[in-house]
Amino acid sequence: MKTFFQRRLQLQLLLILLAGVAVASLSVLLIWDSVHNAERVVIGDMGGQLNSAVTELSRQYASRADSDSTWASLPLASQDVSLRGVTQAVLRSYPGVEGGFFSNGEFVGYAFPTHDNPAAKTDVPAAERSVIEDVSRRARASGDAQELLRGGSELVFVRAMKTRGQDAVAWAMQRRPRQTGTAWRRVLLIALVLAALMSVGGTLRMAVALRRGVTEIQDGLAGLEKDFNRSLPESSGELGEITKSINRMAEVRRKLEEELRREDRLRTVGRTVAGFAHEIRNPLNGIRLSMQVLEQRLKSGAVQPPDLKLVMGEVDRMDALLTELLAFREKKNSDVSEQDILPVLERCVELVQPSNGGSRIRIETSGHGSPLAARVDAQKLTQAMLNLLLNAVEAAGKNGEVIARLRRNDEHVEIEIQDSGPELTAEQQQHMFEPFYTTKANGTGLGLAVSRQLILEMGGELRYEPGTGKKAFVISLEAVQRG
Amino acid sequence: MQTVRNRLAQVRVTDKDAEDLISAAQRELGRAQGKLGGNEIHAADRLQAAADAFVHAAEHSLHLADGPKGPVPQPGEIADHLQRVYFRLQQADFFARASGEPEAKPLPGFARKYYEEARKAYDRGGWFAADEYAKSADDTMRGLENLAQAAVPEPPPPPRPR
Repeated sequence: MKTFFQRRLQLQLLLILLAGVAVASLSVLLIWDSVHNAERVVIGDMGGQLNSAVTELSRQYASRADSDSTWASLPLASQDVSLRGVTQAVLRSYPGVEGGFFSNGEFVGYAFPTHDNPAAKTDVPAAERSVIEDVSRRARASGDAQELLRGGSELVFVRAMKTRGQDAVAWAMQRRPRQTGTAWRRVLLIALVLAALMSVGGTLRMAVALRRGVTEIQDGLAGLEKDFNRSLPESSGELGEITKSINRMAEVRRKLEEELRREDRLRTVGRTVAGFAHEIRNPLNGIRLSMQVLEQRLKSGAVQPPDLKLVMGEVDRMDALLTELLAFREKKNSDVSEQDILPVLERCVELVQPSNGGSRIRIETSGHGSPLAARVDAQKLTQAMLNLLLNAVEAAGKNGEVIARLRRNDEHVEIEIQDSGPELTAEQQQHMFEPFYTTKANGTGLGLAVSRQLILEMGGELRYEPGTGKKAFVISLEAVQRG
Repeated sequence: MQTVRNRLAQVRVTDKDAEDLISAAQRELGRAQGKLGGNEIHAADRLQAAADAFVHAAEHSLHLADGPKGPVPQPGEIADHLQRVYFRLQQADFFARASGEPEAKPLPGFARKYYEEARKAYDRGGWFAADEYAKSADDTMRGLENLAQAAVPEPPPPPRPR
């Protein structure tokens, strides 16, 4: 999942990079467009071309006139033919430029050699004739002149120059379509730049949202590890579906666990009932048998006190069983108070010592010099410790050893009851706290279950400590801090 | 026209190009005579000028066989002349078309050929040959220009003073 999101983020970064390249390219295009298609640049180019053209026309006119003294005396029509040849030769190097000469109030030598159909262009364009004449007259007076006409769809530039040493004026004209599309192209380019910027912004926003979403999911998953009843906050973004899927999965798991717990409880109840029935049936059988014997002896008049003692013993056994069962079932009000644990432990050891069957019980304390105290119900703690000590003494056997350790573990006071008997098997560890689970021939199977219940009621914990090589149970209680 | 006719009679033809130019001169002189008969003075004048130019063009190429008879122009002058001729050659096709004469079509080819010969001679330092060939090319162009001028309609007479 994490790799998937990392790849997504990498992809988004790549998209941002591409968008950046697009923005840069479009900017370059925009600059290029501004530089190369700006009208003033076009006009400057036209002016440059026309100036060269009229300068050359002027020079060639002078050359033609100088080379033949009789030429000037020819009729204007003949001069016109000669000058058309000159204009043809000069303007073929200037694409889109037409021109000629203005002499004695007449246009002569007109040519447009680079026109698509030069033969069709034999005379000065009618639309601009007056402008050309005006520019030519001004050039004749001042040496040179020019005029720029900005039409709706084209630019027309006219330039004229007086010929050297002659009365005539050379003129040239060029048309170019106006860059009417430039404005639209700029709008388009600006729109593209904006689109690219929006794309970058959108991608960044998506990346931030994804990152935030991933963080929320990671936090939520960390919370779920601790508490499966939690749900991830719902989101509507891209990760919403993933969040919903995780919540659905958690819900399914919660239901599954509840189901398992319910089945486990049912199994435990079934085992409890079976154990209870077994435990009750044994003394009942004993009583029945004793009563049958008593009946026969009553008939024969040989009733003895020991006959009744057996019945009483079995009744006492059932009473004890019910007492333990009630202790397990009922939740008595606790009389919790701050207690030094060591005196309680020492009293329990004293109580167990006479019936220890020869095994040695030793108390070890460690930790701080100050007394270890906890808020406990002394009676409940005594009952739980007695159960554990009696079990330990029984498991240690004759010449065995039981060690009761009292220690501080962080915020807790721990009482460890360890005996020299063998460790519990894995199966025993799995069922040891279940009611009526026992490995002893005459055990009720309620001792550990009751002890655990009592410790839990005081907010503590009773656990088995595996892996020590010996059997060890630990009671852990929250320590009281004494200033 | 008589002067031209006399020169035509004296000219010695030694190569095919010169022969073609002399033929063109004779043809245009005949046409000039016709125009003169039709009282087309301007056209007759331009056509005889064209014939004269073609005779000159042929004579320059023939001078090469005789060698220089006077001072030869300086290389700088010849270079300037060649440059002018080159510019004139750009007008050759226009003049040939403007003349309206189908027979004028090969004449720009002669002008270019003479120009090429002049350039070759100039490049190898043959100043006399370069000068004569450049003049031939120039005269051929002048002939073409005159033919084009002859094709222009007669200009209207100037208005009579009141």
